Amino acid sequence: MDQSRVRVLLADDHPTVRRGLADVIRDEEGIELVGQASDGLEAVEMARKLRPDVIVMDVSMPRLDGVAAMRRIRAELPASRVIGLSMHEVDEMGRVMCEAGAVAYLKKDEAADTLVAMILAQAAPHGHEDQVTDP
Amino acid sequence: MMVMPQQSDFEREPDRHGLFESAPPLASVFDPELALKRCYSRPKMLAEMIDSFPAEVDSLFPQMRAALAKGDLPEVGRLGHRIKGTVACLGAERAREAAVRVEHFERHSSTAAEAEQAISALEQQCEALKSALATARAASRPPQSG
Repeated sequence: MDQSRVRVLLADDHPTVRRGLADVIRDEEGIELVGQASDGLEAVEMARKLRPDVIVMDVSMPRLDGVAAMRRIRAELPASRVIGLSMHEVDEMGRVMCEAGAVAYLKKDEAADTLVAMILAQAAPHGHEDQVTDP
Repeated sequence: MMVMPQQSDFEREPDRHGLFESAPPLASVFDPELALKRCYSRPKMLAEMIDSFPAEVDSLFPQMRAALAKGDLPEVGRLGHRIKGTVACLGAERAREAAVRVEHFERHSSTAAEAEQAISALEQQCEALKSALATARAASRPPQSG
């Protein structure tokens, strides 16, 4: 495995959107897509197992929504950084996501180039066995 | 770090699916250019969205009405949000606006009558979109030989 690449977990319940975003992420050679989750619970379980550098997390998902999933992940894996992603109209959702621990929040329909740049910028690659709380 | 833009599928093979040919008469219901932009300039993703849309809405509206019958407005709103994600990717602004009104019930209380009205309005827009997508698909198919 190339340790210099940013390891990303993608969580979105919409299968077509998830596949499209996965293609966007895979096309960037500095990023390795390590997993895809279809709901919040699966995202938490996969994050525990895969310990990604960055998690791209949809807000509205069944079983466990993105905000609750993010809170669990941030509590267990504080070094994993979460980028919130949603179709929600209101700016309020960005505030909620950032309060829950997201490093950024993007609207899905504006996200492709910005998302790739944000993943590369936000996640300095680090050791996955030694997750350390950010100062 | 400088991020160099990569050549997209669309740049390599513009309008492989022929969706732009039927743009003018359909643009008010389905805007192919906006749709492609919202599908991250991936024609494959847009084609998949178009193909899966009829089955998706045919499945979601009965779920929405079942949730309404149980008085579960947050579930109605969640399903509305799901449809909004799809129609937004399809560049269907009228349907997206109707979906926003249904999505509203995820976080705000309302009456069953208001919810039913919003669901019916969304269903109407989705039916119009289904027809527009079918027309766009038919227009993009090569003529049958023989």
